[in-house]
Amino acid sequence: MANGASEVAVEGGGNKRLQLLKVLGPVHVWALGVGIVLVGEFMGWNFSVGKGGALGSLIACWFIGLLYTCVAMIDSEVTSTVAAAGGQYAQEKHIIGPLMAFNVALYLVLAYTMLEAADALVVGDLISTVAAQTGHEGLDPKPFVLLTIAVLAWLNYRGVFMTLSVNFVITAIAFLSIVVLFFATEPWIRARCCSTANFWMVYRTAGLVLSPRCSSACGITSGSRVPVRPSRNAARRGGHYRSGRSRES
Amino acid sequence: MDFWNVMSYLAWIISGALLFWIVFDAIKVSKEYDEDYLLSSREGEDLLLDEEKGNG
Repeated sequence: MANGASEVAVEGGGNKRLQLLKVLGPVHVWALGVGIVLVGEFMGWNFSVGKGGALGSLIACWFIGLLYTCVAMIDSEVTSTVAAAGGQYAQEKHIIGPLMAFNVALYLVLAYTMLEAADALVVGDLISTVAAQTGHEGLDPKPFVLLTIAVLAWLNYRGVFMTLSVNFVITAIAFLSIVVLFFATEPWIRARCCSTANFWMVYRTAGLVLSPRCSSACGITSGSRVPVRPSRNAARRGGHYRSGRSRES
Repeated sequence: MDFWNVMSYLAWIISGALLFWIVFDAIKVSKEYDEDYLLSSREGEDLLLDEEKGNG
């Protein structure tokens, strides 16, 4: 219930201090940070490689990474000064004012509404594709799209702890799938070749090495958005992985 | 009826149940608590401390 329960008063040296009630554990924060990077892996990086090639994608990722690092730094600095569990909305409310807070909240709602719709559509299409591959052509994706939205809405309705606990499980599965993929594709063997087809594998190796570093930065940022962020994290696990091998074939 | 048809019907049913439960619970909570209480937002050190000082 939104009755200020996210804050607790504590005594410290005779002075009353307020601090955020710690609902999440380290695993939830890990899942948030790593999950955000894996979202890029499953839903963004592969498409960008398809559009701009490996090098173009790498340059774009590098540039966006710099910008995102700035966001993470700003968020982490501002969040530490604002004892409120409202993410960027609360930051703007306390630092600039109610009008800016309204604008930020409106943009966040629009952004996550569109994102959730896109993720749900992707999940529906993926399930239709899997059905077609297993011999059931023309499966209607609508029930699965609706189910995705309903589950995400229900998870967020249940609260941030429930949402991020599920998020942890899904992130762990996605993480393991990438580790399995890494060893299954044997990039250390293919990296010896200089062909265009195999350069992609080298890029993937670099991405895997860089992922944990990115996640640490993303984790700081996402931590401040706990109340609004989770809806992103569940649906996009349905994102398919398009391997370099199949893309080239 | 094959596996995917069953899954489709299950998806419809589970979606309907979840959405129904969300709406049902929203109505139940709105009846149980006052609207001012539900819309109240008391966040942040400055707001809460000011409130405590005002009460004290």
